Amino acid sequence: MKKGMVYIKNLMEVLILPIALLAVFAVATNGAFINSRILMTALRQSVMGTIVCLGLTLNLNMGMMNFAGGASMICGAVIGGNLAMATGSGVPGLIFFCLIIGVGLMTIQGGLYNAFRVPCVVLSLGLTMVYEAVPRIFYPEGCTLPIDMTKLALSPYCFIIMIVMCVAFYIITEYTVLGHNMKAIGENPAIAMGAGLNIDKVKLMSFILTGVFFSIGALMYVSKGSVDNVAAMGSMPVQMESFTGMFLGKFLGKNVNKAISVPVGVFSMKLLASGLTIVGLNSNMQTIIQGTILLVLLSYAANTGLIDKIKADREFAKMARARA
Amino acid sequence: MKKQLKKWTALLLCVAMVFVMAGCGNAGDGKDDGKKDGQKQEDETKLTDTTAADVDETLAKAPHFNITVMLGSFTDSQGVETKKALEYIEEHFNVTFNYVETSNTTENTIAAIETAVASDTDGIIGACVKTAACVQAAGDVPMVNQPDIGEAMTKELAGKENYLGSVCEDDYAQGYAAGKALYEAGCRKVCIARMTVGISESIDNRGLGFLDFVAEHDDMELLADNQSRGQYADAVATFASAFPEMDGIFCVIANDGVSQAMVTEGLVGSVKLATVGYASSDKQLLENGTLVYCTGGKAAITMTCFLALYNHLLDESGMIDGETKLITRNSMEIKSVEDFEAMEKYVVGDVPPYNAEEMMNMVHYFNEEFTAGDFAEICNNYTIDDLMSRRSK
Amino acid sequence: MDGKQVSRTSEENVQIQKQLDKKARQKERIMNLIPYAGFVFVVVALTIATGGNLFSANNLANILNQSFVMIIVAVGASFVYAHGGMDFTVGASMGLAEFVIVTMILSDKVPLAAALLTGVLVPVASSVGVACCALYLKIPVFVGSLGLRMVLMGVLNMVMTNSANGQLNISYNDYRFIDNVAVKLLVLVAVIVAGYYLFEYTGIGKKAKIIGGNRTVARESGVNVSKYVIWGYVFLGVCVGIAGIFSLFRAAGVSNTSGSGTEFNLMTCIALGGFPLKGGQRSRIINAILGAMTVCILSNGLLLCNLDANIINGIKGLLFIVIVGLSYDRSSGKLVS
Repeated sequence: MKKGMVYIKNLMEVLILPIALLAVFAVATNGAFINSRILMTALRQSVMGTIVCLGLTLNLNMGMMNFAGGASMICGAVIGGNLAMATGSGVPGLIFFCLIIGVGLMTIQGGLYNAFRVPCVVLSLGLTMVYEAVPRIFYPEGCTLPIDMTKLALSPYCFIIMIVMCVAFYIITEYTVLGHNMKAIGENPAIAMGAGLNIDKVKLMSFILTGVFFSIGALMYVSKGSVDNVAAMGSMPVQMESFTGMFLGKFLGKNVNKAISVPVGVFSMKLLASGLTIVGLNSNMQTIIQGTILLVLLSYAANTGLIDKIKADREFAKMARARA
Repeated sequence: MKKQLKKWTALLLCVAMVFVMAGCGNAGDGKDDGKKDGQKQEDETKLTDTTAADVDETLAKAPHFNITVMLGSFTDSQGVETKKALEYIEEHFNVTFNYVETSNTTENTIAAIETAVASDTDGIIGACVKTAACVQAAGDVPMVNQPDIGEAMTKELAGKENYLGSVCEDDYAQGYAAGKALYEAGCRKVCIARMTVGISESIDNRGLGFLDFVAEHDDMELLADNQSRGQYADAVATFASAFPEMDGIFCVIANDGVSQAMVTEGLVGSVKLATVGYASSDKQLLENGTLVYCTGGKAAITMTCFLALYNHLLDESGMIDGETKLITRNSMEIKSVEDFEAMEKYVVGDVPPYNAEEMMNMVHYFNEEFTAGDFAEICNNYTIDDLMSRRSK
Repeated sequence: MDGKQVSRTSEENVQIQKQLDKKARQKERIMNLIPYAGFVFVVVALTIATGGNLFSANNLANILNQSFVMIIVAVGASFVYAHGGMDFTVGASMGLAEFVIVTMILSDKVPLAAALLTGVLVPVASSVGVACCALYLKIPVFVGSLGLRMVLMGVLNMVMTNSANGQLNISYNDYRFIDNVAVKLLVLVAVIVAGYYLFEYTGIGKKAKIIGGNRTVARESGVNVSKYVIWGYVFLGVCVGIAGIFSLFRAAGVSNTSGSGTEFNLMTCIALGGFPLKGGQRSRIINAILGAMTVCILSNGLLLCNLDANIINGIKGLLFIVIVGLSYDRSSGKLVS
């Protein structure tokens, strides 16, 4: 019972942000914001970001920051979509080709990472340029799917996919040996290695799993209808957009699994963007407000317990003086 | 561990087999589904290149030139169309193009121009030129610019012989016309989805034209102005959910995502759409009356830049005259299914808006009676009807 | 190995130790030379590919102009990356600095020197803001600088849109005395010499490396961590301000895309030069400078090769991976993250 209460309390800490945003915008719009269509649209818009963030979190759990997510998603979306249309295989073919390409690209990254022993950030910067160029060679005009192949971006399919991926993430990180190994390596790689973990293998597997998440992200991206190719780090905004939600979720939901906190963080950012649009603020003000809210919330999350700590320090000092 | 690996491999292979079988199973039915909406068989409607041999012979006699073409992107819809047109020109004219993508920063544009000059280019067709420094960076290499650089900059560059002038479409007028089309379709509560202001002047002007139209009409209300680069489909979805009273949307860039968002958000029948540029799925929206305005054939802008530059390189004929050193081309407006079909047939095919023979006649070196006035007139006459009448001859 | 104890005289031990020291010194020398290998590889490959055009008189001036901004920013960034920090606000703060300078110049009320000085203060303030977020608000520097970047980009877009619909220009001819190869060369040499001296021979650089090596050890050893972290960010801000000034006069204008992408280019330069992203004792300012030059020569050379626009960035990425694979410090082995 006590454990349950603690869990509910931790969950409420994560949900405070979206609830607060709903309350603020409900007041600002005289209740018009509390509208199922607005909420469903924001939820739908957060599906792709959530799946990409969960993939990035798998790498981040081991201390690896991967900038190639956006590029591999665009590559998977463009090539996968065009192959699916060329083979006439419809939605199953789209899923298959996106998976093959996404997993393949991340496997290559994992292999290079193990071979070269350079930081993931560095390697991913180079691979971003390569993965952006690959679809341009084969399909320079990008990919446009016909309407009947875009079902997966609609409800309820997109929500089913998001729930499946969140559950998969939860199971991998909590109930598999691989997930525990990843956490161990993330906490202290030297001790993990000393304890006998095969670091190379675990890291490669994490890249492959990340590739699965990026593939599904690519699937959701192309299912919106069309994807254009990019160049010169043009895929960064695709990824950066999700980063803020991911870090928000990570820091606000320290005591819950990231399968819950990350989607809540991404959803909150989308809710914020929708709310600011409805209230009539221009996009520049929206960006400023989003950045400010991110900083305020992160500093709150980083400093909770500070007041208690200061009080405890003062008490301790008092006791020490009394004894002296 | 080995056993587990084998298990996972077997599972993956099974899944792959299922998908392949599903794909093969759908192959017979799915091939039609795989076609883009509005796309016809290529051999049925698109024009093929039937340039006469004597035209090619004449063109081959001209000296060879290396020309650098700079565009923001060769992979968006306008970029793909433009590159196709330039490849057509390369096939028939004795020129070699070097394609350079510049990001939207002036610093990168200047670097690209400097490097082009160092690689002994004979001329530059530039885009994203925002300051005089870009033209200065070209040194003595002749340059035709794509967007309008404004009166103040044109004055600053007066006397710079390498600057031949600018060619653009009247983006402001297109935005204004889009507003008018929505108004005439009965739209009074509208939203606009545009790019962050300052990245591209021509795209910004589209938004300004539209906003001015709305401001001039008291019975028209702007519900929302979304400025987020590349996320127009999401913007449409947000508008749809937040403003049930909305009856019109203007998007500064046409995009299949936007067109499909209109369908998936259930806006067909209740909300009208106007865009600048076109998307392959626009035919369906024109048919059901959702799309009331779009434009096409923008590859002609870069083709005009080429012709102005080529004229100068061959015999220093100046085709962009006047104090403003600006040619503002007419834009190809599309307001009906027939217009769209004509554009698909005459523009998006093997033959661009101007074929080799027509272009040859626009070059003073080959056609001594051709003047700058004729050049300007041809640019002004550019419409879908003009294109159809030229092709039917 | 066979369980028998091996007894050695003290002289033998000394000889063995001398051999081990010699091998370690040789390895150290090779490790120090490896970052140059990447630079040499790029230069040789592109010289061959461009038929010598890379080093034509015209193109050398281009290389100087094109690499100037990144080299200056890389010098400043060394002080930040050396202690394990990073700053994603450099691009937006550079744009804002340029806006402030242009606004003051166009007002005709402020002397040029005052306008330039005020402009330099903008990125200093922004970088110090990132430092304060990390030190006092305890926000991880990666996320803190991302958040501040969003704020600054919003501010830049807003002021540019409100003031001039996205573009503010100055007369190119009036300021050619600043956008001048000789002036740039002087400034570049001065910044590199000053940066090198401060980084390698003064407490500022040395303390930054100690903090990057192990923050706790540095604190317990009496290093004032906050002070030296902030100094590092101040230097970065000053360098970004100087780079912004010259970028402004080269472009003769500012737009809301000014400076955009500088933060990612900077990271690419730092990585390509073999500068450790987590800082520490192996941080060398020359690596950052080499990395900046390599990236710029790579971009310039690939453009000179007249390659198709579709593949140019792909080749750049492949070369990046090859160079980094050859030259990056692998001492952390499997423990690299």
